[in-house]
Amino acid sequence: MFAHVFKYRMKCFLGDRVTLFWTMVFPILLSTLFLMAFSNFSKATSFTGIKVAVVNNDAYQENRMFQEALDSVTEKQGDEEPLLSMELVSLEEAETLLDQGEVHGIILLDPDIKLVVNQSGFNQSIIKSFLDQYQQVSASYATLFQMSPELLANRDALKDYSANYDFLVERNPGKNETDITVTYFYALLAMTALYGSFWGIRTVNEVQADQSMKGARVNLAPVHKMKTLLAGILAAWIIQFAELSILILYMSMVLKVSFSNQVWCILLTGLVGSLTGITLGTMVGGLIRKSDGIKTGVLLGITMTLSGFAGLYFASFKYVVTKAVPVMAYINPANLITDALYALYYYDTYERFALNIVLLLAFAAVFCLLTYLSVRRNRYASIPSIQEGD
Amino acid sequence: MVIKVENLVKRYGDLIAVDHLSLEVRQGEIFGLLGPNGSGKTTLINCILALLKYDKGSISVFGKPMAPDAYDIKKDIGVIMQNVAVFNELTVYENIDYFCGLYVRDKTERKKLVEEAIDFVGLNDFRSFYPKKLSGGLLRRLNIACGIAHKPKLIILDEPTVAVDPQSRNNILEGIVRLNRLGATIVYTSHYMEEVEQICSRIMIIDKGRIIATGTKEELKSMINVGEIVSVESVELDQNLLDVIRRLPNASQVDYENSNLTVTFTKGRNNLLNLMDLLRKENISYGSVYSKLPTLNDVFLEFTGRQLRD
Repeated sequence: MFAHVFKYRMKCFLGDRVTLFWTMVFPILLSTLFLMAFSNFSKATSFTGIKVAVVNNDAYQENRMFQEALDSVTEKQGDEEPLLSMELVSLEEAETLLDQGEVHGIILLDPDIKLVVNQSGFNQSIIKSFLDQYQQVSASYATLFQMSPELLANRDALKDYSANYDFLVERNPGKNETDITVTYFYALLAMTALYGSFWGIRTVNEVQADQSMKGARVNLAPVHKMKTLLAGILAAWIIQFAELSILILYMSMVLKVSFSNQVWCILLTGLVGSLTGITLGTMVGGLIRKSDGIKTGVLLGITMTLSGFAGLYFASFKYVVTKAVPVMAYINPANLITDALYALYYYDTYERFALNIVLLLAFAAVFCLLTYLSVRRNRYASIPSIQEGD
Repeated sequence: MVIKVENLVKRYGDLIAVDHLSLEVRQGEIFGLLGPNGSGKTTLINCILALLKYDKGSISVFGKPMAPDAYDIKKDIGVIMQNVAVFNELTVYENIDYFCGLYVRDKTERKKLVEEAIDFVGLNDFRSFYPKKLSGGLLRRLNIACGIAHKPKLIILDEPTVAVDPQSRNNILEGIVRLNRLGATIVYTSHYMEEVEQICSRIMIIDKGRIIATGTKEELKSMINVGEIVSVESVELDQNLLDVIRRLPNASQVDYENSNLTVTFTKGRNNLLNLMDLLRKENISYGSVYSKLPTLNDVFLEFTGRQLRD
């Protein structure tokens, strides 16, 4: 009997194109949009070299040290964009470029280094900082050469006095580099897992006589209602987990979203997250004895709010909420799902991941209990759907 | 006795939907439950099926108390609801197989039953169709097949012909009679008196949750005073002649409007003949003449003062 109901529940769910769209196609589309938005975002915020015109005169040609210094800030260093974008031109051309706003400043060696700008601003300040730093270092070199002329023959020793000083090295405490965009993708996965609640609503509606005619038919049959409910939950769980796995695969393989390498743990998060989502739906479907539209609206509100707190709309919101109300981190299933994925991605240990999984299972257990209490009744006070015609 | 309901009371707040109602449905009969919309038919059926809580009374089916977990009783009951209850994602065959499978575990037996049900409702050509592709009438037939595929001993049909075209309606009614001939006891609820009169062997008329009358259609009609209703069209009558007609033997009511005369006679003999003799004697010309026996609507009208479809 269980296998019979399960088989047809699977068929029904796989044929439910509307719910399949919202629980699988929509998140895939949204994740693609996220990627496009974030690529534009990174383009908009990426640094491009500050345009500067350098006057190509005799003083410039003779100053090898300055040329080398310029080279060090105008050439791309690995993935990093250069500080300056230089045009070597005559004085007249430089002035024209400045007037036309093509460059932010003119560097002129006359023979001292001069910076010509026609307005003050952030970019002009950077050019000035570079020149100040150069002058400071060249002055140091001059002093060193006076004190130790042998250094002229040992250029390698001069590197220690280079202008580029890194006093602090940024080091990530975790195993992977911090990437703020994964917050959005992980929150989207959490949202999708909670969208499993739509399957949950359908499952519970179709076993309750006061919620649907099909539910009435199930109640009239010589089969325990809980058996049909469990078969429905299992079918919904498998489908939702498959959908979530496809989404993770799509994010990972196509969108190149960073995930931990612990595939089984990621799948476990998806499995437990899906169960939490579906049981959230069965609970809401069981407790609220209103129309399908109202139930779906309530669940949509809950899901989007919880996902929002988990960083779906603003990545920083997740941290603001967690800082302001720490308990929210533990009572928001969406946050627990994102946090489990984070824990796998950033940390070497499993403690935080395990805590999130245990809490998610606890939520699923509570949702199951409340579903059982709301659905267990055998006789109904009224059956509106059946009484329509009477 | 297939169904026995004693002194049943069901309230919705202050409204009494079923008011101290008792009934018995006998083996092999087609029991009609007739009443206007809101009379409590569906509430009564839902109480019998243990779907609804009730305030007072007792219900037994197949001689055993009916309860939500009375699976040994439920396995022999088939229910066809007023609203179609099928899955849009399953084909005709799959829908019938799904609901039949809730009653019959054996796959081979189930397959045979599903085939028989498809054959019975005439959906052979549509077995692989999805419900959305079916017309309203075919959808009703599918709904019936889902309710009867497991060959129940008791079949309860709750207004199965609402919003159904005449052809499909006849098909459904013929099917119900066939099911009865095959041995099933039928409980048929409707507010269409013609249907109930056509197929039911015994009828209970209910209104506002109370029994108005129970019996065969002949017994019900014999309970009222109306024996015959005679209508004469295109007849010109004056007040004096109308008074004479009113004094005819057994004439209980005379209505004259737009040159149409309607005379209601109580039981008795030669009522039509007496009226015709009078018109001939008075040299009154007339058009068509009709005589009809009382209907269940007349029964309902006499007991409640209202038309059945009010």
